[in-house]
Order: sequence, then C-alpha cells, then structure tokens
Amino acid sequence: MVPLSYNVRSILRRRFSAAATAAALGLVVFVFAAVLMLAQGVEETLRTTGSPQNAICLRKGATTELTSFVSREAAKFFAADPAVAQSGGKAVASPELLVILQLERADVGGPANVAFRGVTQDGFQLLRAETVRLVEGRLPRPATSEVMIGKAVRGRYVGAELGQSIRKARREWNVVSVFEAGGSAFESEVWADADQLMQALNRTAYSSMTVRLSSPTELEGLKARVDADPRFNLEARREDLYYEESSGPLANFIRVLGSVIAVFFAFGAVLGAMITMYAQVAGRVREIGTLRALGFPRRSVLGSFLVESLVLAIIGAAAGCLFASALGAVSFSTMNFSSFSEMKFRFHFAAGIAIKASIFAIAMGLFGGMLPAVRAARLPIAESIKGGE
Amino acid sequence: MIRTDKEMNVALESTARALEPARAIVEARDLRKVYKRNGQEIVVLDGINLDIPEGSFEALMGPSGSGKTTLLNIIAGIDEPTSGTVKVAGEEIHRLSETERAAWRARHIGYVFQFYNLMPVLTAAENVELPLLLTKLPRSERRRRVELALKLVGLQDQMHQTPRTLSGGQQQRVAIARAIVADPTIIVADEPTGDLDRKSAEEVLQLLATLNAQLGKTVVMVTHDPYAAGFAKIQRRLEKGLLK
Amino acid sequence: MTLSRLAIRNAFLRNKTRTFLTVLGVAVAALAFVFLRTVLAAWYANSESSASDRLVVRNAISLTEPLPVSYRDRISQVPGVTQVTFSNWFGGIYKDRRNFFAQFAIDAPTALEVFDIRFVEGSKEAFLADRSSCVVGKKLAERYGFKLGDTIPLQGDVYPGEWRFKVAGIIESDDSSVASTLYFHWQRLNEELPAERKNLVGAFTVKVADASQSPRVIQAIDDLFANSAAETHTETERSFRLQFLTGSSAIVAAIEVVSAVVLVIMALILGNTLAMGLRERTSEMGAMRAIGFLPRHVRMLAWSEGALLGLFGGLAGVILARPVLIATGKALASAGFPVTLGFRPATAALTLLAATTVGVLASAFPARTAARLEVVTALRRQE
Repeated sequence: MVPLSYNVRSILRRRFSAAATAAALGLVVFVFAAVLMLAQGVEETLRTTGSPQNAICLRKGATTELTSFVSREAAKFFAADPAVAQSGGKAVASPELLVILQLERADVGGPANVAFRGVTQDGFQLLRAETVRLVEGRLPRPATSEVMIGKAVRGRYVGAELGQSIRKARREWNVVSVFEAGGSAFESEVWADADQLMQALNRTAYSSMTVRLSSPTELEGLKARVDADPRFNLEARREDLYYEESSGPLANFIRVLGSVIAVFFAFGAVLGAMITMYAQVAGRVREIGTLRALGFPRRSVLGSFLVESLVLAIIGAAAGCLFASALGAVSFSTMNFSSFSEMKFRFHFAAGIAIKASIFAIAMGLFGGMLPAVRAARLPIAESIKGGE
Repeated sequence: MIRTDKEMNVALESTARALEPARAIVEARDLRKVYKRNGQEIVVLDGINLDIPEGSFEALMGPSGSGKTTLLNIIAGIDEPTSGTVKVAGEEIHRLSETERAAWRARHIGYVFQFYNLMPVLTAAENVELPLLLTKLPRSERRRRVELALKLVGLQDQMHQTPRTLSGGQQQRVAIARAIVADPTIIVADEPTGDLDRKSAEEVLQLLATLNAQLGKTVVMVTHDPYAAGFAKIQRRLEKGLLK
Repeated sequence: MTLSRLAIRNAFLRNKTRTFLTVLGVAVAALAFVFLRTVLAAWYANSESSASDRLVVRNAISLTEPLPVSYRDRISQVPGVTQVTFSNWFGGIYKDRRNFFAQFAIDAPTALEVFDIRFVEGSKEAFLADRSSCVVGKKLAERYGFKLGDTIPLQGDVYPGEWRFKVAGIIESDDSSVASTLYFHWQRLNEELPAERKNLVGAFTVKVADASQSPRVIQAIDDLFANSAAETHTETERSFRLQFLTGSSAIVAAIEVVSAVVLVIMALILGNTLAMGLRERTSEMGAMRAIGFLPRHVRMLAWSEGALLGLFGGLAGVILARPVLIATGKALASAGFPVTLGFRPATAALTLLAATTVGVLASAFPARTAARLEVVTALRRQE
C-alpha cells in the first residue's frame, strides 16, 4: 500500500485547498449538528415537562391548555377517581389555569407573551413539588398575589426578579421565589395562586387538571371514564405524551427547514471535496505514473486518494463537532407555536448527534473524492511519467 | 512609432542602417546581481560590462548557473541589477519604477520563452494580439498587425487555431509573432529551442535570423546549444557571472 | 479581443470539469441563499402588508383576553377614527389538524370596508344576506378547492363544537393575509355561545382618517378605557403583526446566520478553485507581465474570473430555486405551516449580487498573490 505519510505530505503541499475543503466539510457538520441539536433540544425541553406517571385532563380535542376548560365541578369529580393516587387522605391532583399575559421585555423593551399558571396549594405540594424545586426565596402564600417565577423568566421581563413585582391585570404580582424544573417548559412560566388568577381575569374554570396515577396501569381506565362522562366533555392523556405532541409543530418546522438546508450543505461539501481532489490528482500525474511504474497496483492508488479525502473529511468533521459542542452552552428563547408563549430551549448536544453528523460529513467527503480517485487510478502509466506537472 | 507599409520600408531601412555606424542598443556597465538565500549571498552576475550593437544577433552561452538567463532578464527589464547600470534603447532602465518599466517593456521588448507561454484558451491570432492591447491602436489596426506578424512567421493559415492543436515548433513561432507584433526594439529569447525537436528548432532559429537580417531587429538569445548559437552573429560566453 | 474576453475564456474554458463543479457548487449555495431569504421574507410578509391607516385595539392584559363588543361605539367617537370593525380568532380545524389556516368571525358590513375586500367570485350582498355563510380568500380556495356554494365544516377549538359555513364569496385584498383566510359572521358565532362568553370580541380594527395622526388616536383610545375592567392596548396594525415575529426572533436570527454561513461556503468553493487556477497559470501570467502588463491587470483578470464564476453559478442557482421553493412549500404545508414560498425577483437580484461579490472577494487573496509575484519568479515556475 502507498505509505500514509505520502498522503499526509501531499495534503500539506496544497495547504490552502486542503484547508478550504476541510473548512467546508466542517461547516456542513456544524450546521447539520446544530439543526439536530435544536430539534432535539426542543423535544427534550417539552418531554421532560411531562411525566409518564401523570395524566392530564383537558377539554376533548383541545390542542393546548389555552383553549381547554375544566370546570371546578369536573376537577373535583375526577380528583376523586380511583385511578388517582392518594397521599395523606388527599388526592394527588393539580387543577391549573394557564393564561398568556403580555409582559414587557427587560432588555430590548417591547411585548412578550409569557405563560402564567395558576396552581392550588394542594396541587403544588402534592403533585408539582416533586419536579419543581425552589432555587431561592420562599413559597408564595395562598390567597395572595405572590408568585414564583421559573429560572428562565428571571431577569427577562420587567419586574421579574426576587423582591420586585410584575404589574398586570391591574395587580401587582410580587415575586417571592425562583424555581427550577429540570430544564422543562415550566421554567419559562410564572406560577400564581389559581383563585387569584381566576379573579384577576374574570375566569370561572381551570384549563386543565393533572393527576398522579396510582399505578401506570390505571391510565386506560381513567381515560375511559373521563371520555365517557357526558357532563363534562373532557379527555385524559398521559402527561409526557401530551407535551411531546405540543412540541410537534416547532420541532417539525425546525426539522423540515433544517433538512432542506442540510441537503444543500451536503451538496456543497461534496462538490468542494470533488474540486479539491480533482486538483490533487491533476497536480500529481507524474507521481502517480511513477508509483504505477514502480509496481503499485491500481487499487492502491485508488485507496491512497480515498484515504486523502477521508483524512480531510475527518479533520473537517472534528472541527465541526468541536464548534457544535460549544453550541451546547447556548440557549435561546423563542415562541413555541402551539402554546403561543415564549419558551427557552437549549441546543441539546449528544454524542449520538455528533456521530450522525460526522458520518454524514465523512460520507460526503468520500463520495466527493470517489470520482477523482478513480480517475487517478485509471491514468495510463506511459503518458503520466512523461508529462503532467 | 506607427509605420505604414512595413515591408516596403524594410529593405530601405536595413540598407540605410548598414551604412550607419552601429550604435549600442544595450550598454551594461559593471552589472552585479546578488541573491540572498538563507543568510548566504549568492553572486550570480559579478560585474558585467557589455555593449550590444543595434541590429546584432547575439547568443549568450554558458553552463547552467552561469547567470545568462539573469543577464537576459535584466536587459529585458524584468529583473533589476543589485548594482551597476544598464542602458537599453537609450533608457537607463535600472532607474525606472516597476510600473514605468512595464510600460517600457511593452514598447521595446519582445520576449520569446522556452516553454512558449501561450494562453491555451486563446487562438493563435488572439495570443499574438495580446501585446497590442496595451497600446491605443484601434481594432482594425490591431488585426492588420496580427495578420502581418503571423504571415511573417508563416502561420497565417493557423490564425484561428488554439495552441493545443499546434506542434511545438508552430507554437514557438506564434510566440515569436507575439514578440514582434508591437514592433519592439529588441527581441529577447530564453532558450527558444530548448523544448523543440531538431527540425522545429531549425525553423525557429531560421526565423529569428531572418527577422534580424531583413527587419533589422536586434536579437539577444540565451542558449546552451552550440548549434543554435551558430545562427547568431556574435557569441558570448558567461561563466560564473563573468563574461569571457 | 479584449482582456475581458480573456477573463471569460480563462474562467470557463480552462478546466471544464473544474469549472462545472465550481459553478454547480456556487449554484447550490445560491439556491440555499434564495431559499433562506425567501423563508425570511415569507415570515415578514404578513407584517409587510399591513396598512398604515389601520390600528388594532385589544385587551391590555393579553392577546388571548377578549374585549366587550360595547366598546365599539365609544371607539368610533374618538376624533380621527373613520371606521371601526371587530373580529374573533376562531381557530378551528378543517378535517385534519395539519390543514391549518386562519379563520375569523367578523362584523361583515364594517370589516369588508375596513379591509378593502374585493369579491373575485360571489357577491357582498350574498354574504351579508346569509348569516351562516362565509367568504374564503383566493389562495385558500385554490389550495383546498373550495367553490361557491360549498359547505365547509370546521371543528371548533377555541369555540368547541361542529360548525358549518356555506361559501358565499371568494375574496382578495391589498392585504395579502386576506387571501389565505376564511371569514364568517360574528353574529352567528355569538348567538351560539353560552352567556359568559357572549358579546366579547378578540380585537377591534380601527381605520383612521390620517395615518400621521395615529399616535394621537392610539393614546385617545387607550385613555378612554384606562382604569376600566378591560383596559385596552392599541397599536398600529404593523406593530401588532410584528409581535408574532419578535417572539420567534431567535429563529429568524438563526436563519440569518445560516444564510451568512452559506455565503462563506460559497466563498470557500470559489476561492479554492480560483487559487488553483491561478497557481497553474503562474508562468502565463509571468509572460503577460514580461510583455508589459501590470500587476493590476493580472489582479483584474483574477477578479473578473471570480465575478464571472460567481455570477454564472448564482444565475444557475436562482433558476433552480423555483422548483425547490415549491417543493419545500408543500413539505412545510403538510407539517402544518402553510407558508407561500413565492419566488421574488428582488431576492433573485440580491442573490446574483451576493454571488458576484463573493466571487470577487474570494478571488482577492489569490489575485493579490498572483499579481505580487515578481516576473522572474513567475517565469521560472513551469507548473
């Protein structure tokens, strides 16, 4: 086989071309990985929001809590359902009111739509407290306008800081604590007392009720009973699946857009690799002829050039992955289409994504280098040693 | 320097010239060229004194590394001496700036290279036309001169062919046509037959001799081939940077 | 022959394989660029088509909170206001969740005027006469094949239940968002609602006599309802529509970044090719310098080549853009986002300009290297 050092040194001789090709491939990896990371980040945020142990009751056919109504009676009735877990004699159920309120952004000014969730004291203590933990401050007192804000909300809007208050719906909502919720969508919300919120907005019903199942097997039974009840027009869904579905639109959008872009980039990368490798071949006609005259078979010449494209692709992929992993530290807020409110997402960097993107780039590099390599192997010996460069 | 019917005037002029005392078209005094490489000084030309009379056909010979190409390049204005003076066609070219020298070259020098250096994407006629693009001549006049030049080298039938379809000897003749199309003072040739077979070489050399004899063009040629040097009127030898 | 012809020949005739691949690479990059810019334009299209003489009045608490319909009379009395209409976002589902389009309940007589709605088929009278009828935008009608007289069933989401509307007209307006929307009578919606949801509207749209007076009118309207049960927030129609975008400004920013990256890749491909080409021709350029051409001639030749390859590739990309845009539009629509990715001449022109500029810039460095070479050195290189 043609020695590897020959390939490496040949690449070094045309540094500019090699660097340009590796850079192009690196960019492909980066963009590809970024798109995957973002789509996954969106799904992750929304998936961790729900738990398979909980079920959420909504109006039948509602796509989001915003258009759902669960009356007080319905909430009371289904909280008593046998499928619902009990703790200390009380049902582990949390009826909640979700509304979108317009707050003022603290940095650039201008309006932003923020989700406010009204929760009951029992609902919080028994059900939500498992996944939602206070980072600073104390729990809001029931029957007051005190609120707790999610980590992602803090500092983002006017008044959204410990000790300050948010002015809305002719009330001062005093911020008494900041909570974290495992990176889920809840961290982009403001939680208030349900009754207080209902009063402020003149509402009489909750939007949803989330219950803890006494055991996962109870889900089907609960679903059947909720569905069948003619009084209330509700349905029950597993909480994590509900949130996953709501991430659908945004994640899909990112995926479609991202896939189209990735296809473009793939083309660009392949072409870039091809151009460089063709030039490599053209510049070494005499060398190739000499190698063949010395006795190296065609396939070793072919393999040698493929190795070169592989090396370039690997370098590019490594650089791209490096930059993509740096993206993991970046998070950004955007509007989740279905819930219509601002939500913070991270770029979720996983080894799996890096591997996928790298394989993609390496495949592109090899594919691009294929034709030139074949051409190199096919050069007739006699002419090559004479002419060329 | 626009002349009308060149061919008619040629005979008159070369006769007239033959009767005049030959003036030196190239005057080099104490030319030195030193290269610095890796901190070491390499002396390529070590004090050249040279007069080339107008209308002469000179061959500069010598082993490789003797500095003959460097001397040629200095005379042609594409290289500068480290010290010394060189006056070509009455101009002290070592004093000119790079831009001025370029303009001077365009008017006074016709260069013939060993590897022809034609543009493969242009036809023979278009290649020959290149130097004229630096002048203000209108298209019709340019075309006329190109045709004339190609006729002089015997390639008017190949006017619209690209170099790829021409033999080595033909390509070199196109290159010569390009070198004379702007009516330069001196034709400078660096190993013009180095890449040619015997027959083509002879054609090229014969052409240079004809241009010199009939058009009165000064030709300065670098070569290592004694056969080629035989076509020249004066042969000079360079060894280790000095003229012998 | 001129130097420009030399540039063209050098750009395209030298190494045909390489030229082809390069032009293709630039074309792909240009395609991506057109695509991204079009997505961005589509994003902003809605707000771009807003009228300068319309204002939107809504509940100050939230976009999703309603206002009493009784506010209408008081708003219409504010000096400067010529017309007031109102609407409710209906948000229903047509057969499948993926068939997403906007539906509004409107006050027909006033809305038709405020939005300058023109009837392409059917008539205003027919629409006004039948309370359970609706009108659909032209583009919407084309997409789903709605015709006059068809009954469109909608599954209500915000207002639950099964709703049916007969198509009494197909419409369009200078406001492009109208063409993708369905409108029906607010009265029809209101009569079906339970008591606590009756007589409430989503937003009022107000037409002002003089657009320059808008700030004053905005203040006057909000002052009217300050300290009432439902305070209002009034703004120009444009700023109202833009707020939907600021929410997703991060995505917009991401798209801008990616389109810049695309240009970088284009530059890399072009620069690479040009550098290779110039390197091969060192001795030829040395010959040109020997003949008397100046470094700037050599530089300009290189720039022209870059510009030519960029322009050509850009042109190819722009031509290929159309089918790609249509295909992506379909894909997005089936994912639930019915954006019309229309091919705009302005985008095409911008892309061509960008590609050509990238070509020149990409050739800058190799051009400088080539031009700077000393004649002697250049001649010595017989690559």
